[in-house]
Amino acid sequence: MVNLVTSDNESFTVEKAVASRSVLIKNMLEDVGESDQPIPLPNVTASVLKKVLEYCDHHKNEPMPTSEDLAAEDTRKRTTDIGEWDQKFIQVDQEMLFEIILAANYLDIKPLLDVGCKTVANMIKGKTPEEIRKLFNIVNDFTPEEEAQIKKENEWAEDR
Amino acid sequence: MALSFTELNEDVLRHILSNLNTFRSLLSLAVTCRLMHKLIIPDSLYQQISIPIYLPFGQPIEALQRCCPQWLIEPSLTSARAVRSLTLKDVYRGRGSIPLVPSEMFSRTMPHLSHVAVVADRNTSGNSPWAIVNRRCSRVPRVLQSAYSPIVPRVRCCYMIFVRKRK
Repeated sequence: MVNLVTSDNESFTVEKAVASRSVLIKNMLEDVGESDQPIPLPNVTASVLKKVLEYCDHHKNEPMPTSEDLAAEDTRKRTTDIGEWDQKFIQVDQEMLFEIILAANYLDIKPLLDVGCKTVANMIKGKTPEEIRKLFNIVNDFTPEEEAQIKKENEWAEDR
Repeated sequence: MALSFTELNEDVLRHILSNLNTFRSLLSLAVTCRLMHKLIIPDSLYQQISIPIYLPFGQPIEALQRCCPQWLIEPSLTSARAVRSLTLKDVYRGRGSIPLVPSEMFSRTMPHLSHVAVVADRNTSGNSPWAIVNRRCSRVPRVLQSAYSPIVPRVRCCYMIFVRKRK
């Protein structure tokens, strides 16, 4: 078993197979060898780690993606298909979604990072700039002149 | 304070962008704020661009100004400065003379452009429906490839023209 300690000082004891879905933790475990020492995760809170571990537990028996798999994913056209279980798992509020994405990036859990980023991409698709601003609370920091210029530059692409 | 989309780190934002595979989606996000514009326009949206151009037979090159995107002909626009690779999809259907696109026009508006591909329509008559030339003739671009493409039936020939070496 592996003991993980979050930024808000909560401890989680999980199977090594679950914790090792994170390449960061897997490498740390390999570096320190067999040890009872807790692994500190200063960038992850307890609520987020709980969700991340739920994902890792569900996928613990799947083969880890190899570097060849990752390279192939990058070169072929990406799809935004998300598995049924993953879709339900990622149905969280926006802040939790972003926290999960950041945690997956920090913990180096590529499949979870993909699920999170594809979810955000799917939320953006088909929306107008104004709808995207509203969805993500993005402040329009262009001056009216800049906005007009950008619109003019890109109006040729409106039918694309 | 709640974490917002624009506070995600650049690696994560790029990962999200890589899953936005349509021009329109990327463009919509690019025009929401300065950060997205800076992130998307140079690296994702305009780096490789493909545009249709219709220049009727007998029209002078100045007619391009009425039938192509503004950024293609107007210097100092962000979009044009981002272009590295440009494909002109030719729908020219005239006969006889060859419309000439001066290469200095490209180097002025797109200083980082390294490749231009001209894809000619199968219905276009003549041997070389489009040519990109340097009018001063100091550096006539070299045709690197001219081949019939069996993959795209409409395409008659594709000229890959090396305009400017990237340093």
